[in-house]
Amino acid sequence: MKRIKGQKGHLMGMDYVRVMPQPQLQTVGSFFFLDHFYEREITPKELSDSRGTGAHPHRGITTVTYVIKGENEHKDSLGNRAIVTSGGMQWMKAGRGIIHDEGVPESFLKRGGPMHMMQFWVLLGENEREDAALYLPVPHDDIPQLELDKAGSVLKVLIGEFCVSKSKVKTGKPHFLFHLSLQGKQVFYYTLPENTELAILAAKGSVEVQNEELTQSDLFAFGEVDETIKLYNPSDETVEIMLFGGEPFGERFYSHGPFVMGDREGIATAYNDLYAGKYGEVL
Amino acid sequence: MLQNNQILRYIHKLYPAADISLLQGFVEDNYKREVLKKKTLLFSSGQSNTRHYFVEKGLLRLYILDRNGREFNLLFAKEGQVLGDLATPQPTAYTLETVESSIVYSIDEKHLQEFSGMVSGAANSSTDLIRRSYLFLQKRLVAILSKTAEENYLDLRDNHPDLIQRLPQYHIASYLGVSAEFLSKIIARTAKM
Repeated sequence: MKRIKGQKGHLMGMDYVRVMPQPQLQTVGSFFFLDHFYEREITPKELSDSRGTGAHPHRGITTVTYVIKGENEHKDSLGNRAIVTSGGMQWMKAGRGIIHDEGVPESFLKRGGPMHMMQFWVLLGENEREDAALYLPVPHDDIPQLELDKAGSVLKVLIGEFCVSKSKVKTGKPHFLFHLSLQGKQVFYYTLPENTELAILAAKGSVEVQNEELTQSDLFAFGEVDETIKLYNPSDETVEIMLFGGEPFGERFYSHGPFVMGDREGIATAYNDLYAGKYGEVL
Repeated sequence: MLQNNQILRYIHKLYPAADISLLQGFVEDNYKREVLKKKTLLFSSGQSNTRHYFVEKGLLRLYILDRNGREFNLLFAKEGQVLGDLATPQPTAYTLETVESSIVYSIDEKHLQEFSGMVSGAANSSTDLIRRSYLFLQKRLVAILSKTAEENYLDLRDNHPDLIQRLPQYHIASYLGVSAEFLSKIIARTAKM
């Protein structure tokens, strides 16, 4: 079990922690990147400093923006445009290239409010990197959830499958992303399926994982383990926890800026295609 | 009239030879409709003269408490199904509770028997219903005694995926007679990633 502490940063008027990648943790399953915009009350003034990422390209990855609280607006060069609100997810497979812009919607910008979100990058395998780009907004009501215990703890299946609950998102390499809302004094047991890596992020509050405390925005990473992992919430408040991972990625990859490809030549091609206008533009 | 009335449709299936207006009168006079919140107790162990419950909407569970006070879920009933203790009016060994917000129709044994006496062919229908309930319980008993928790989980997952989706995990563990920790192992072993 590795403990990962991220680095703080500031983007889109919000404070965040860059949790992954780190020198000691490159990937968990196909997950390569994670920025955690931890929960904060954001004022309209703060948001007006920088309201979006600006249009930028991606290739070779899937970006997953999960909004626990607040709102997020997506626009892309395929002509898609959608806002997801609390509990929803923006899922975008960049495939062979896309340009998108993500930010806080105008309406939220005016009033401010609590914001809590995170963005993951998931690596595409070699056989998926040349697929056409695809975008899917997944509102809260479309995300399957299971009640766990008498106290009402809930597991939301954002990507992948748990028990019979299956996400509507279709993935290539098997991976999963779950959101666990663990009520006070409750325990959740998670056993890894075979050939699976796992990471646990404390998204809000602290949780005990295998009797070790994991504090907010920190992450525990597990390789393949046989034992069942015990998560316990010692407090009286609900804690928000993300569990993610999947089969070890197992392929060579090379990342530069917004692109992740199989090698340096792939990165050069990605930039050349960007300058040649092959990814279109956000209108 | 039948299309929009689940309880009437159910009674009609039981007594196909009976006149619809007679059945409707019987339902109106003898069945009690209740709108219930999640986790409402319908009857509990030791109680006499328990009623039979038809589920129009929602989910019920019938359970027993073991000597350590742990709950063991025996049966569930969802929309269109009936649950109760066939031994009524004798004191029951079971407890019946809603798992979800539910709408139920219930009847006591006395009125059910009276009606069976009035309708031609009803005795056969009642015998058939009891036989089917007995076979269902027998199957559950054999599953508890002779199958592993994993086999019972797979049976539930593959044959009743809607039920497993609706049941909280602790009720699934209780149905299988395993701890939450052991259920997590079963889920991992049988995962279809």
